[in-house]
Amino acid sequence: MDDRQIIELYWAREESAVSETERKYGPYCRSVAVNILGSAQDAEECVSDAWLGAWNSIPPQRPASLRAYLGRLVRNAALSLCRRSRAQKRGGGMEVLLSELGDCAGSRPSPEEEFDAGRLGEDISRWLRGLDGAKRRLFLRRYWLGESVGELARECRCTPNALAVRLRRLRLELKDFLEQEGYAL
Amino acid sequence: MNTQQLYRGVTEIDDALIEEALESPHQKRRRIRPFAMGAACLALISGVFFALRGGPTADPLPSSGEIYVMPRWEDMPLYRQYGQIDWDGADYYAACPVDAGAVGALLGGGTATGHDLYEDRDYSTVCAVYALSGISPAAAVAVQYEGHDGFYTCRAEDYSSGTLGELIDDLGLEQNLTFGLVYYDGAYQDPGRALSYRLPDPAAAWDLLLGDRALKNEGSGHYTASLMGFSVTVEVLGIHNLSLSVNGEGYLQTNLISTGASYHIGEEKVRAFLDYVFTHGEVVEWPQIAGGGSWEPEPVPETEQGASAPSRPPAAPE
Repeated sequence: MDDRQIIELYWAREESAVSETERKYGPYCRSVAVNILGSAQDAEECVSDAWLGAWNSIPPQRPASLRAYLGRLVRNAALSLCRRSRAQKRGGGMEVLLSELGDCAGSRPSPEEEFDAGRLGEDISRWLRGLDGAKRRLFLRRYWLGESVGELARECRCTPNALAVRLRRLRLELKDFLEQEGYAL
Repeated sequence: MNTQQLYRGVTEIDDALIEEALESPHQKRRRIRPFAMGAACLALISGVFFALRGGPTADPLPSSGEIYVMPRWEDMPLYRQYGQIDWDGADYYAACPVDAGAVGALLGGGTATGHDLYEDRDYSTVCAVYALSGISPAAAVAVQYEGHDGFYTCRAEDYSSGTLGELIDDLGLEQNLTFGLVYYDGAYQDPGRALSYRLPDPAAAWDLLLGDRALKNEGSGHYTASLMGFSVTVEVLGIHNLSLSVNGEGYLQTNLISTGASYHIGEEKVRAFLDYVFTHGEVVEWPQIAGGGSWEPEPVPETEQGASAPSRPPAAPE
C-alpha cells in the first residue's frame, strides 16, 4: 500500500491505518529506535508511542513524507523515553548520541518559550545542504538514524577511530555554523 | 541551547534530506524486509493497540494473532466502495450508515467514486445528496446511492469553522457530542496522577471548554502535544474516539474536523479544567501494554530541565 493510501486510512479513522503502518514501516522504525535507545524492549515501547502519535496527529497532519514523519515521531518518543530514565538505566545509545552532540551545544538550555526546534531544523538543513553528499549522509546516518560508529566505519571502509575523527570534524563545523547563526552555545 | 534541544532540532531536519539518507546505497542493502505475506493479508497488530487506546470500556478487536484480510471490492459495503463524494464543488468522504430519521431536505445530486485496490480500477456512480438534521451541509451531508435505499453520512474534507460557536452549530455538538474518558497526557511528568479518568458529569466540563463561542479558530498552527483531553464521539457523523483536548499554551484543540482546529481559551481555563478532572474524576486504570512496559508515571529525573520532549506533529500541514 502506498503512503497516500495509508494516510487516507488515518483520515478515515480506519484502524487498519496502524497495521498498515506497522507492516510497511515497522522494521524501519524499530531500527531507528534500537539504534538510538540500544534496547529492543525500549524500542518496542518507543515504536508503540510513535504509532499512538501518528494516530493522534493524522488528521490534521498530512505528511509529505510518511517515512520521515514516522522517524521523527520515533525520535521524539525516544527522547521522552530517555527522560523517563528507562533508557539511561539500561545504558542506551541515546547517552552516546547526546554526548557527541555536546560538542556543538552548550550545557544550559535555552528558555523553552524562545526555543524553536523547527527553525533550528531548518538552519541545520541549510548547513547540511552546503556539505558534499558523503559528509551529509554520514551526519544524518549517525545523528538522525542513530547508526553506530562501528557499522558506519565498516561501510566506509575505514577504522572506527578514523570515522570518529570525521564525525568530530563535522560536529565542530556544525558548532561554528550555529554560532555564526547566533545560537547561544 | 543544550544537547537535548539540539537533538530536537536535528529531528526537524528537512524531509528531503532524510529521504536522501534513507535512500543511500548502504541503507537500501540494510533495509529489513517486512514479514513476507500475500498482498492482501496483514497481521492485525493494531488490535491490541486500539483495544488499549480506546480505554477499558472499548469493545476488543481481534487479537494480534488473527489475520486481517483487506476486503475485495465486491466484499466492501457500498459506502466503502464509493467513498469519495463530489457535490457542489466540494469533496466529501463517506463515513458511516445513518438512520433515515436523521436525514433532512434534498439538496441536489452528486457523484460518488471509488477505487479497487486489487484491480487498480476506478468506479463511479451518482447519488442524491441530503442535509443531515441539525448539521450544516458545509460540514457533512447524507447521500443515497442510485439504485439503493440506505443513507450514509459523508463528511466534508476541507470543512473549517470560523469560530468555536460555528463548530458547535455546524456539527450539532450540543445534541450529538458524547464525552468518553479523559486522558491526562501530562501523567508521565506528574507523579501521583493517573493516565485516564471518567467524569460522572462530563457535561459539566462543557462550559470550561466550549463556553466561549466567539473564540476564533486559529487552525492547526497551535495544534501541539495535548496536555489533557476527552475522547469524544459524534455518532451521527461516524466520529468515534477523536480528541477534544487542551494544551499547555492555553488552547482547546480538536481533530473532530479534518483540517484540525484550535481555539485560545486561555491558560486559566486549561488549569481549571485540569483541576476539575483531578477533583471530580474517577481514576480508570490502564492495562499493561504487551512487550513495552507499564504506563505507570515515573518522576522526571532531577537532572532534567526544561519542557517535556515534543511528541508534536510538525507545526504546519506539509
